[in-house]
Amino acid sequence: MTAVPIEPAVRVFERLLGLGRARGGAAAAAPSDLAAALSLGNQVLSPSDLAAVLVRLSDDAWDQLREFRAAVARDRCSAAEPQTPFGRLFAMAEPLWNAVERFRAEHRAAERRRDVSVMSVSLGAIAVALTPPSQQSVIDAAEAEAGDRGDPAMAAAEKAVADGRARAFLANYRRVRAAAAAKNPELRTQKQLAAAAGVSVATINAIETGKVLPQLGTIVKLARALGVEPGVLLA
Amino acid sequence: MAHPGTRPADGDDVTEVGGGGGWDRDYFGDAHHERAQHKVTARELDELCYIVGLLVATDAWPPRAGTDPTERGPFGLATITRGDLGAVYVQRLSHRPAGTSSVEVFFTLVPHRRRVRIVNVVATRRLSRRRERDVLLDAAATRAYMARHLP
Repeated sequence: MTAVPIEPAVRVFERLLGLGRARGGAAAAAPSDLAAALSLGNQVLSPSDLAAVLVRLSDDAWDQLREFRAAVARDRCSAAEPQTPFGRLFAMAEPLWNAVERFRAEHRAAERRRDVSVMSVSLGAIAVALTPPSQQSVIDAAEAEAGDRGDPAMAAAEKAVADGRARAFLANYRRVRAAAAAKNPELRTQKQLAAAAGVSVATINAIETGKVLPQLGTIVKLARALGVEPGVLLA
Repeated sequence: MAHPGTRPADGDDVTEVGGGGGWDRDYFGDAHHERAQHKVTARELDELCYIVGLLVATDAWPPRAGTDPTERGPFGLATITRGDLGAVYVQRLSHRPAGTSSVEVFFTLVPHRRRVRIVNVVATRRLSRRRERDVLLDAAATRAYMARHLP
């Protein structure tokens, strides 16, 4: 897909919207006509390009686009190809359209105060809303995280997270364990706690001596036996 | 020391209590790049999946609702509702390794596939400014809206 010059596209878009209104809305100028005009030869507006066009439209042109969209919905006329970003403008559900309107307003306000970060987020969000579902991607964890194994920085982060969790768990466990034992005499020994939690004494021993950090399932069992939320032990 | 979810302490306590197992994750759009950028580890996300599964299995889902991620429930989880886009869930990962920062992991659920679908990973510090927070939350809610309708 070739990048489309945004400013000319904005002017074309505004002119066509004006034409649509002059001819009486959707009946006169179908969205597919606009899309064809905007495709500029074989180039098609990508979601990002179209988002850039939308945030640059004048308020008057935006109002016309809103009217046009309403007319398309009211008259149920054939909208632009829904599998294109332009077609999404007319096919997207109302909550998404409302969000696009908010993002456009946010972008314009951010542009006035030169807030690049908000501009970038709002533009990206409009592009996401304009991307047809068939072009949206979902990547499985196995694929997305495959690069971790060969990445020393990620391996270091993994180890640091594990060590930090282990230290935090042990500190939390000891505090909660002492409080529970003080409150309930039947939780004083490792054997009693093991029985209450439904795990082996060896497991309790290994945990309390810092040899292992239990699996989350075991942490949940321990938390229940000790009378706290699992999150207290993991915090 | 082993880590939750990676190795049992011994053979008798592998069974997960109250469900929670079997939930996996995937990434919507460029969220996997954001994960790598913030060095969010597989282990941190294993824990997130486990916790979600546990809460779902014990009818404790969704987490506490609010309009802002500062209103959090257990495990640093919160439900954020923005406009009419529906809910997006978020977990704050803090106390992270040196060289990394606290992050917010925004996600939605695909229950029939037992999937946590991550839609955004954002540095927590970006939520400190109201204007940026508002647009980030709206963006996450928009992504979640799109993501939960995908297979």
